[in-house]
Amino acid sequence: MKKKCFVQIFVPNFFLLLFAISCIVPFLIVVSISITDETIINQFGFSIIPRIISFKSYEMLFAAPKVIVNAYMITIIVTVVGTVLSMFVMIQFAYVLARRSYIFRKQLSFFLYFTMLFNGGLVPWYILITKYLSLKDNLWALILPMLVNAWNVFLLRTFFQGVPVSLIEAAKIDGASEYQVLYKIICPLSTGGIATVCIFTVLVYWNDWYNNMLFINDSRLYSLQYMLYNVMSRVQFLQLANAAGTSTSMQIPQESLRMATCVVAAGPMIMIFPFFQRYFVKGITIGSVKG
Amino acid sequence: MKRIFAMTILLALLVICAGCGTSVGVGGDNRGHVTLTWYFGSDPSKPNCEKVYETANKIIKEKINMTVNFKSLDFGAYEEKIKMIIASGEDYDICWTSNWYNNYFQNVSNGAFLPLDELLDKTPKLKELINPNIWDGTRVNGKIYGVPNLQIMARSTGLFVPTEFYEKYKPLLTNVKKYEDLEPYIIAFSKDYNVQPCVGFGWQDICYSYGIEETLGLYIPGAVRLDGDENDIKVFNQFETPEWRGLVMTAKKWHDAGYTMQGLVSPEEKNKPNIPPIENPFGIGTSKPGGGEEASVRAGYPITQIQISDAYLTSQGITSTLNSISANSKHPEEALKFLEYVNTDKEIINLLTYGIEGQDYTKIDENTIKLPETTTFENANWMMGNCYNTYLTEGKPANTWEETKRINDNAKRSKLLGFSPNLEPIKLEMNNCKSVVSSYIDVLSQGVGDTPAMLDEMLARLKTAGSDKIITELQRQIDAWKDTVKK
Repeated sequence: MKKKCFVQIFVPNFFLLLFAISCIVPFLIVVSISITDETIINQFGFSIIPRIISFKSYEMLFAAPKVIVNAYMITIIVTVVGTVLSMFVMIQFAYVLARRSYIFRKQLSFFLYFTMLFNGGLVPWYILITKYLSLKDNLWALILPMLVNAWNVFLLRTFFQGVPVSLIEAAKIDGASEYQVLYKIICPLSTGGIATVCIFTVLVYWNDWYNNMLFINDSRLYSLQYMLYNVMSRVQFLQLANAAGTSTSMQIPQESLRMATCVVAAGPMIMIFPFFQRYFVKGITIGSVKG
Repeated sequence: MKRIFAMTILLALLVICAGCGTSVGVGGDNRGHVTLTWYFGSDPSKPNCEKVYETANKIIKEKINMTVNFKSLDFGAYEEKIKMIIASGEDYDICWTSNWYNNYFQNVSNGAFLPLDELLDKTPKLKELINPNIWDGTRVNGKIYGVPNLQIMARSTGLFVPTEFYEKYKPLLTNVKKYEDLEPYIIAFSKDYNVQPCVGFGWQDICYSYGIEETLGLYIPGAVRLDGDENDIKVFNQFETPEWRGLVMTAKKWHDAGYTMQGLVSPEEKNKPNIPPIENPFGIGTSKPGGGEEASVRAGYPITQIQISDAYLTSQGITSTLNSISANSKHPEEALKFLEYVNTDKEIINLLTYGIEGQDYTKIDENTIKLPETTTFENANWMMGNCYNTYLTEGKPANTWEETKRINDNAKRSKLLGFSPNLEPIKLEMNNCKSVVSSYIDVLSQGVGDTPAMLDEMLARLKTAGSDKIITELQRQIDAWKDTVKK
C-alpha cells in the first residue's frame, strides 16, 4: 500500500520535473551563451555552465547605453500607460456587460464577440491606423491597437458577475453612484480576476514588437522587443544578402551578443512574474469554473 | 469626480490623435521643387543618420533642385514594412527591391512599380551607364521596372580555400574545373593532416561549372544548359543529369574512402560560423572580385578565391538589387532623374553609403577608406546605387570595381536573360519538389548510405511530386517568351 503510494507520487512528479527542466534549460543556455566568449562558443559549442565567463557581450551591448536605456524607457512607458488605460477601459466595459439591468447588454456582448471571430484583415487595419488615425511614428500606435482584448473583457465580466447582486443593491440604497459601486464594491471583490487580466495585459504590452515594426520608423521610439527582433532578423537578412551574391561587408552580430540582448529584454518580466503568480493561479481557476 | 476623470482622459486621447492628424501632409509640393520619398534598408539607429541626410539634401538641392525624404527602414524588418506600405497604397516614389527580399517579380506582377522604358529616354546618362544586356535582365514581359544597382551581377562558381592550404597545395588546385577535380587535393589534405573534414557543395553555386542554369531556385527541378544554340532552349530536371549523379557519387566515394567526415553532419553543424581552417579545406560559392577578402573577414583568417567556371549574366544575378519607382508616384520623371544622379555622381553615393568624411570614416587614399569599429553611419552601397563609384573599404583590392565591371561586361549572356517565369500554375508542385529534395540533399551531398538507391528513390518521389509538370509548364512559358522576343 505504502509502495503504491510512492509510485503514485513519484511518477507524476517525475514527469513534472522533466517538464520543468525542459522549460528552464533553454533559458539557462541563453544566459550561459550570453556570458561566454564568442571564440569558446565556436570551439566547443553551447553548454549550460560556461567554460570561461566573459561579460564582453554585455559591455558591447551597453557600450552605447543611450540606445538601450531609451528602448527600456519606451517599453516601460508603453507597458505602464497601456496597461493602466487598457484596464480602465476593459473594467468599465466588463462591468456594463455584467450588470443584468443594462438594456444593450446583449448587443454589446455580441459586438465584442464578433471581433473575436472576424477582423478587417491586416492591410485595412494598417491603413486605418496609418491613414485615418495618422498614428505612424507615434507612441499611441503601440498602445491603442491593443487597448481592448475581447477575451479579457469576458473574463472580467465573469468575475464581476460573481459578486452578488444584492451587494450592488445595498450600495445603491446607501447612495453610491455607479462609479462608486464599480470601484468601491466590485473591484475590491474581484482582485484575483483583475490581477490576472492585468498580468496578461502587461505581458502583451511588454512582449509586443509587431506593432512597433509596422508603425514605427523613428529609431528613438524603438521598444526593447523590437530591438531584439531587429538583431535577430538582421542576421537572417545578411545571410540572404550573402547568398544572393551582393558585395556586403557588414558584420553578422555575434551569437553571445544576441543572447545578451535576449536576457536584457526578458529579465524584468522574470522578476515581476513571481509577485503576480499568487493571483495568477487563483485567477485562472476561478475563471475556469465560473466561465 | 470619476466621471470627470474619465472624460478628461478620453478628451486627451482625442486631442492627441487629432494633433497628429494635422502634422501629416506637409510635403511642400507646390513650391517649385519636388520632394521625393525613398524607402530603403539600413540601420536607422546609427547616430549620424540625420546629419548625413541633411548634408545630402543640401547637395541634392543645389545640383538637381530636389529634396529627398530618406526613409531608411531596418534591414531585418524592411520586407514586412515595405510590404504594408505598398499594399496600403501609400504615396512614395522610390523603393529598393530585389529577387530575394521584397521580391521584384512579385511586386511587378502586383502592379506596384512603374514601367520605365519611355522615361529612360529622358535620362540618357542613366540609360547609357548600364549595359543593354543588364537592362534586359530586369525586363518582365518585355518591360523594365527597376534600375539595377551596378555591382557583381555575373554569376560564376568560386572555390574558397584557406590561403595557407592554397599555398601548400597550389599544383593540385590550379586546374580544378569541377567538383571531381578536387579529389587529389582532398586525398592529400586528409592524409597530411590526418583529419576527416566536413565538405560539401552548394548546388546553386556549383551548377555553373557544369554549364547548367537553375531557373526556379534552390532545390526545384527546372534547369537549362548555358551553352549551345541561343534559340534551342530545352528545360530539364537537373537532378536527372549525369552531372548531378557524378557529383553525388563523388561525395560517396570520398566518404567511403574515409577522406571526409564519417556519418551524417547536421546542417547547423555544417553552416556554423567561424570554422577553424583545419576543418575547412574548401568552400564553394559565388565568385566575385574581392570575394576572397570578404570571406577572410568573415572567417577570421586569409582565404583565397579561385574562379572555376565562366561568368554568366542571368536575370537572377541582375535583379539581386534594384531601385524601382512606385506606380503611385506623383513625380516619376523627377524620381528617375534623381536615380540617374545617384548612379552617376561619385560624391552623393559615397555620402549616402559611408557618411561624412572625418566623422563616419577616414580616407586612406583616393579610393580607399577605413571605417571605425563601431560605425556611426552605415548603408549598403549595393542598395543605394552604382557600386562602381563607391570607395573601397580597407583590405579590398584596388581594382575591385574595374574587375567587376570587366566581368559584368564580358560575361556570357544566359539564354534566358529577360525571361521571368510565372510561378502561379506550378506553385504546389514547386513546394512539393522542394521538400522532397531538401529531405535528401544532406545525405546525398555527404555521401552517406547507399547513394545510387537513394538517388533513384528521390527521382521517383520527384516524379510523383510533379517534377514533369514543372518542366512542361516552364518549357511552354519559355517557348512563348522566345516567340515574343523574336518578333
